[in-house]
Amino acid sequence: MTSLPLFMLLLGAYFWMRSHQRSAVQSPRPPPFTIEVDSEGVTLRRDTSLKAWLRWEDIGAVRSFKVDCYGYDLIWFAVDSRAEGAGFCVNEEHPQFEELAGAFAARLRGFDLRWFQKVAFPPFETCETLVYKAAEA
Amino acid sequence: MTFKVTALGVGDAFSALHYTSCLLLEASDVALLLDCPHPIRKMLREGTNGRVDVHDIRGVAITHLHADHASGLEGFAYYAHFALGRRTPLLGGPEVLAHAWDGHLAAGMAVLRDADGPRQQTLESFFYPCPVVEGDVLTFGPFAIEARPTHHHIPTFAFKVRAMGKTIGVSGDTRFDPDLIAWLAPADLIIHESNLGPAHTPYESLASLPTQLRARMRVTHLPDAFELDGAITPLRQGERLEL
Repeated sequence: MTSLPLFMLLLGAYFWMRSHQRSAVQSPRPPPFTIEVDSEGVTLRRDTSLKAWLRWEDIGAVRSFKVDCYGYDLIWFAVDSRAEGAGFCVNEEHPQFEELAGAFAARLRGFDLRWFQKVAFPPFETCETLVYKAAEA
Repeated sequence: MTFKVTALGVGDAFSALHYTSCLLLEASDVALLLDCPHPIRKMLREGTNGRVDVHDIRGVAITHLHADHASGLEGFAYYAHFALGRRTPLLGGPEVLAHAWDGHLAAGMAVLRDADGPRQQTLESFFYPCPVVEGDVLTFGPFAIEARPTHHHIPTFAFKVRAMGKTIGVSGDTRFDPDLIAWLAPADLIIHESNLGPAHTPYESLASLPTQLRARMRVTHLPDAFELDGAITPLRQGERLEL
């Protein structure tokens, strides 16, 4: 029973440390696209243009991994369409990353709810993990 | 479920027999128009026996802005705006989208008058521009869409569209281009234009392609009087193909 508070404490410390590391080495940049999540799926927009649109049932797989950025690391989602070659990538610097992760957890049946633990630790290792795989159509 | 292609129009710009170039692509309950000539609602109604109308169309991809491919955009957009109250994704090569408003639609759509007077409109008033950049893959619902410039009078793009594990390649209007043929060749179904003049593909050029390629090819955009020799099967208006 004591392990969960300890884990939450470590998680909080981890994010605090990473955010401070990032802000020390990076200047803020606007996100390359906005993410709209609704009951149908995910839409990516850049300014007034539509960059990508996927319904929940169009998502074939979601992979997560880290990239070592020398001093901090960056967690990514790679979202693959069922249509070969299509999809999009987004990393945790996107202001809507957590919203997207929450939507995946809520909308994709079988999405691995322990994805963060599997990908975040140990730090600076890629830890590529298949966090969702759609059933065959 | 399959990837379905319906030929809503197969004629060239001067056709007295057919509607002009337009394909309806359907996969996983998503419908995408590939080109949008006038009268698009009538074409949809006749081509699908009333099964599909503008409200079912989730996106419109445009190869280029010649009227025989794009003259239905205004009617489509006004119907979506006034009758459905929504904007539609407009897919196309960047150069096509860049001219879609000032070079095509603005003359009939730049101003709308409401109770407060005239209001200036833009492309974004009616569409979500959705550029398909050469070398990239656009993710659009169940479709993966690629585009490649062709050689025609004005900026024109060929498309490859994948869904349900199958691919359709559409040449758009173009002079004969072996590189374009090679780009289209992996597709399960290739719909290639043919017509007269230096900016179109002579039928003979397509007829001389390898047999295994021609077997997956349908020819469209032919003059009304053109006499086929059987080397390539013509696409028929109203024909529905399942990939």
